[in-house]
Amino acid sequence: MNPLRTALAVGLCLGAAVVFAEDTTPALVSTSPDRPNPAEGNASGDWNVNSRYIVESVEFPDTQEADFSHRLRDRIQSLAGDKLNYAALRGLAHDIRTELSAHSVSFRIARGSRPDYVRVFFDVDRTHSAFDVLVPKFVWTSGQGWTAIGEATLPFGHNTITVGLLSDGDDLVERFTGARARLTHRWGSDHPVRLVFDFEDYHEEFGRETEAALSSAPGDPGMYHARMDLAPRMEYAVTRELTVSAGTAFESMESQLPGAPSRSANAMTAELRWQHDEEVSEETHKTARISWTLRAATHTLGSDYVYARNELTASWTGVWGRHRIDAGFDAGLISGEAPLFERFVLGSSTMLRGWNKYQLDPVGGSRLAYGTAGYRYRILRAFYDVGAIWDPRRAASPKQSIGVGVGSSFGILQRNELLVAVAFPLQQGRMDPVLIAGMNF
Amino acid sequence: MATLVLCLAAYAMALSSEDLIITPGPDALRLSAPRVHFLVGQSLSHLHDGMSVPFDFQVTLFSGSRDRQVWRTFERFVVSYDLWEERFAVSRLSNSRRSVSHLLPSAAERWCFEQIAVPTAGVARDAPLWLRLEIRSEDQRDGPPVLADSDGISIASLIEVFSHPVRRTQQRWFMNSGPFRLAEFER
Repeated sequence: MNPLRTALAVGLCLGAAVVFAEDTTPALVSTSPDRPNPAEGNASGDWNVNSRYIVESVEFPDTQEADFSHRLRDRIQSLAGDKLNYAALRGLAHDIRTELSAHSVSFRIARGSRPDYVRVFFDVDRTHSAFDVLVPKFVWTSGQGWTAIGEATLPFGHNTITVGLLSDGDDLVERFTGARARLTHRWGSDHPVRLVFDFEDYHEEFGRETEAALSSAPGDPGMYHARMDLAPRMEYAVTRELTVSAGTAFESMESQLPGAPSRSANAMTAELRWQHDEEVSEETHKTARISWTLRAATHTLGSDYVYARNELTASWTGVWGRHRIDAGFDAGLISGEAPLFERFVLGSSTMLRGWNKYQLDPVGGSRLAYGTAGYRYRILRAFYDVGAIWDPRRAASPKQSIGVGVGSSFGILQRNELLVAVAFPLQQGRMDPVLIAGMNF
Repeated sequence: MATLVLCLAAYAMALSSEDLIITPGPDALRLSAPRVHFLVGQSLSHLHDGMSVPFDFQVTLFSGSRDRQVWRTFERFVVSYDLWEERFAVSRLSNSRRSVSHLLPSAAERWCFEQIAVPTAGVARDAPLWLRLEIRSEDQRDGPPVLADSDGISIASLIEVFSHPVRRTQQRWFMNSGPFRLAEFER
């Protein structure tokens, strides 16, 4: 039996089994009035006269307890028993809104059951969040064309289904056009586990440079005109900062040659994600992220390709008021013979900006080393990229680029940002500017 | 009795136009607006819900035919309502910071006006003058607080506040007084 069909059948059965679990426990976090007061006081800048009172309870009249992650629940519980901290409440409201994709989250304070104690009520407005349409990425790069991704998200119970249409000529060697869908099931706060099913179905187009490069060196990796993927995985939040995931990916590629059989790249997948947020004040915060991903395709899963793809990504962001500094690092290694969609690419709208990916390597590389640094002040941006992709039989040739641009939501795009940048590849003797424009890239 | 006479004299010298009353002082004009109440409506509702509500004041003194700005100042007052004592507290954030508490609504409003002084040094005594006062409330529920930091709020931030049109979530009061001359206070 075709492994892809097997995986699809298993996935649908598992999905149906887990989709309708509900926890209807009302969310109420309270503390006894006799609980010792840590007497930590409030953040500076809190001018509210009620800041001297102690939080008796934090309540969510219209929201169920199981809707929150365990990390958010920890924060909610930590408020009870402390003095009223408006900065902490505002931060919590912001994070609840993000996690629940709510339209708005507000809070109000009322007298507690005894003097000097108060109750905090959070009102979560999810009326506009039942269905959401997003544009995760829309970008045009001179010389490389445009990329557009549109997604619609529908949460229901503990599940979220996302369906997207896209044409992406930016992230991979090839342009892939088609549809993708994701079904996510999340268990309650006491079981920080998520089950995720990804499905993708794309039509593929390769550039002339890629076709020329592959025709002069026939054999694997070969081109394909369509690609379909089903990837179930399980995610587990070990701690507030560390998440691990494991799963499989069943990828089927239809050859460009008439009558040739389709080939598969079926892999075991694993990922480690670590993120640390440090919020010094409302205007000063830092975020560090490190992730490692592995895709290991083996004959055991019925794969025609056998390879292991490792990628290590690290980033750091610091915000001080209107100033922001970003730094990032990416390293990748593919051992074995991987299909084209797995190979690393530089010269996109986000990595080694300003360079043409087809000039760097029209078939991508099996080795990647990349670093970036950026600075923002209000809407102004400047960045410096450096990196190289190469193969074992070809020496690495590091490239650099610099760029400046502007980006803003202009007060009307809410969470979206319009970005326009000019990037300059640093080549000996000349600088050919590349214009990058779009949204959310 | 002497206090009463002084008060009456001051009242007699005050120039009122609509709701904004100007009272002369030794080196500055003082403002009051007993008929204007800004602790009302949506802002009052938020205060009763335990939220603090910032009120931004912009005072501008014009001369000539209202085309020359002589002087301008910005002040921010943050008002909160004590849920247990049922009284208001006010903090003045810009310039020299001060706070009061245990006030009834009218007293809290009056205290805000009392903190504003319009200096008269260097202003021509016979020049026609106009005074404009604008008050805006800031709704913190619909966005991040505009409070700068523990040191208060900068003038630049307040200028930015008044450079934007009034948002749906804001309340606004607008008062004018004039024309008047400083010499009229000296008669």
